[in-house]
Amino acid sequence: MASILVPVLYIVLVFGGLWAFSSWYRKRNAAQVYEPYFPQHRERDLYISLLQKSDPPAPESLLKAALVRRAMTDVTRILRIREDKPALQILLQKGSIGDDLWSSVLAAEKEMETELLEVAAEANAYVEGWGQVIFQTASEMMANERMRALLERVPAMRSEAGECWLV
Amino acid sequence: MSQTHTHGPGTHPGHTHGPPPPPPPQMAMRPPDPLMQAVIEASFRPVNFALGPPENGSVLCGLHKLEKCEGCDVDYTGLNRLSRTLHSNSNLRCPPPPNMVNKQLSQAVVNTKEEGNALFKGGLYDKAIQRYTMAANIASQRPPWEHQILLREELATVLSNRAAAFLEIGDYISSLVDAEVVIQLRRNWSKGYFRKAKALLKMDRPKEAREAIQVGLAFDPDNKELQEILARIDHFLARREQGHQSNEMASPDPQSPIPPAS
Repeated sequence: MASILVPVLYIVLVFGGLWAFSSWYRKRNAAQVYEPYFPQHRERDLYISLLQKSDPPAPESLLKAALVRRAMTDVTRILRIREDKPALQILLQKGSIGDDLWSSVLAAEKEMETELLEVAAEANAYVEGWGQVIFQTASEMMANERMRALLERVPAMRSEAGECWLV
Repeated sequence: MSQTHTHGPGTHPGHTHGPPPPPPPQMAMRPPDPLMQAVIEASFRPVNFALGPPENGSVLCGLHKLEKCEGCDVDYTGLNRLSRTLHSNSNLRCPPPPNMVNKQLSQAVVNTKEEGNALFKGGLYDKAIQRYTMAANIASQRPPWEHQILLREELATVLSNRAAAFLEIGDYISSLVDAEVVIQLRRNWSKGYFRKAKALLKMDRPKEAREAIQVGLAFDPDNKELQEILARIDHFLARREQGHQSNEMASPDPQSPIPPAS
């Protein structure tokens, strides 16, 4: 006579096994730390260090300048994510890259979202309404600085071109 | 916004329609995600730095007290420049929006460039080059937060003219470099490619000149100036090819590989 015990034991074993695996798997996934997509945000570190400086405190002009530099790095990162994400998505679909890289992109995107809000809030704390403009300012500054660097490189380019020409 | 009413048209409503409630304050900014904020906070690494002149208004590296330090791998030049600008303009509380333009500076650039053009037309190429260089330097003093288009166009125009002047005095390398910079500044402007091709032709590098023209034509296929010079280069190359085949190396005019033009 078959006991009811055998099917019950079977069900407990199967579902218990499934449950154990799923909980272990989820715990492992949650604990996994993805390699950050961007290197250390040094402009942000400097800005916060400047804020924390007390004797003597950093003057406001310096803090504002540091905040603009922070925003400039943010702008580069945002542009970089916007550029990389579609390409990475295609690579992910093809299986050319792993989930790790994709997860780190998503994490970076989320972090940047928060970062932008923080910078805008900081800017508004200095001057009301600056938060709406600071990223625009930052992106113009990036472009202008690049052009200025190009202009400064002209003498070096000349001697380089001259050397190529002589050889 | 349509309002749903439960009371019929004839019956007395149990409530009054006051003025609409004031709209909720504009949600200009969502509060940042606290979880991500914690992540950001956790990633913070304090920076070792020192404050420098004027009035602690600049940042130097902590170990060597340098603005730009290779040992500490830091470069605070840009930061300190902006800090000084903000410090010296005390009525400037923050960088203004990009559309606030320094008109005086634009005028100075235009004037200097015009002086250069006049000297160029008069055949005083050396003086013209000096003027153009000065105009480029004035343009680069524009506040960094202004629209990039302004600096881009000013620099491109001035350097394109300077390339032409360098070409006239026979400094082909400087001309080539200026043309290259013009192309990097305004990639879709035909003038840069034109100047580059001219300089390369003078240096007897017609193949490279042809490539430059073709890149320029890819941006602006209908450009007459570029089409013309391309035809001349092709003609010249074909002739040289023929010369190589029929004649020996005795080329008729070794000193001038340039097609006759402007």
